[in-house]
Amino acid sequence: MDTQLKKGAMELCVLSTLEKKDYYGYELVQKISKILPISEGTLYPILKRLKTEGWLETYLKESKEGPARKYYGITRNGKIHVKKLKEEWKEFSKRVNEIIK
Amino acid sequence: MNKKEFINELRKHLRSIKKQDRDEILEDYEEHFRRGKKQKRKELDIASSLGNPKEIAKEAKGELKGSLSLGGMANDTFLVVLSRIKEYSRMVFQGIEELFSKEIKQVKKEVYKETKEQTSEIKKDKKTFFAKLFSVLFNLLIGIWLVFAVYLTVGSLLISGWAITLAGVAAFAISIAGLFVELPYVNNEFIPMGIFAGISITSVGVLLSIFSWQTGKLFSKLISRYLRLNKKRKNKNE
Repeated sequence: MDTQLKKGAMELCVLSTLEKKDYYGYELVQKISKILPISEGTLYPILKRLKTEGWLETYLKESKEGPARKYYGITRNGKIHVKKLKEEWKEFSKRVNEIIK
Repeated sequence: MNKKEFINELRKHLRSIKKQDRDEILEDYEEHFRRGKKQKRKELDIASSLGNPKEIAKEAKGELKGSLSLGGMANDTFLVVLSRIKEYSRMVFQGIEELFSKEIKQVKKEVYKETKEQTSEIKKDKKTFFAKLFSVLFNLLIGIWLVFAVYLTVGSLLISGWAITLAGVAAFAISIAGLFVELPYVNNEFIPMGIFAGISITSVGVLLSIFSWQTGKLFSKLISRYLRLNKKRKNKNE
């Protein structure tokens, strides 16, 4: 699969998942990699970039078992961005579907 | 590959980036291993589903691009050169050790290949570094002088405008005064010409003042917009 396309899809999936609730890194990576054909490791660099872009934020939360976990949450800018991405994706996939059917 | 091997391999491929970024990235993967083990997964299994460390490092470096600051770049270039020097000396010693073994040809070939690869990588780093350095130097040297020159021109135009206005007003005033009192050089020939010239010169002076004032204002606006843009770009980069 084309990497650029895959990256866009991953970005969309990460942001949409975090729109519903906050996740810690491991949990989020497991969830996404179950759905998309990617190796788990490639998600962390993307998370880091989304954070740099200001669409995600991280915070530490204590857990009963072991040290604090790093949680990821979506920011207000992230919500605006994911809305735009979703529209683009829908339009794009609609067109592609029309061609390949 | 177990956890230690995976992390070491990843660290090796990330050695060209800033230490702070590298530590942050490595910590994410350490944490991933910790969580996985809590869920009774085997290290080998976790590492294999994470993927190839070399590929991950490539991705991470790709995502980091465009967010490198000038200072960071200089520092990184230095660190990369240092780590390469260390590596080369290690390779040379290894080469000597194996000089008398059967694999002499093989080792030489590998050293040569890797050296070539890494030199080309350093060259690339240097290129971006100089491109950034040039843009900063341009801002500092050319930019400041350009701003200075434009302000100097606009400023002298403004002052000339004021002076011309003043001369026009003076000529007009002296001519009018000549109507009522005796003044040296102000005779009947001078007075009508003085009034006419005074009015024209004053108009020219006022027009020139307004023109240069507006130009100066426009230029200030352009500069502040440029500076804001630069700041925005810088903030975005950081």
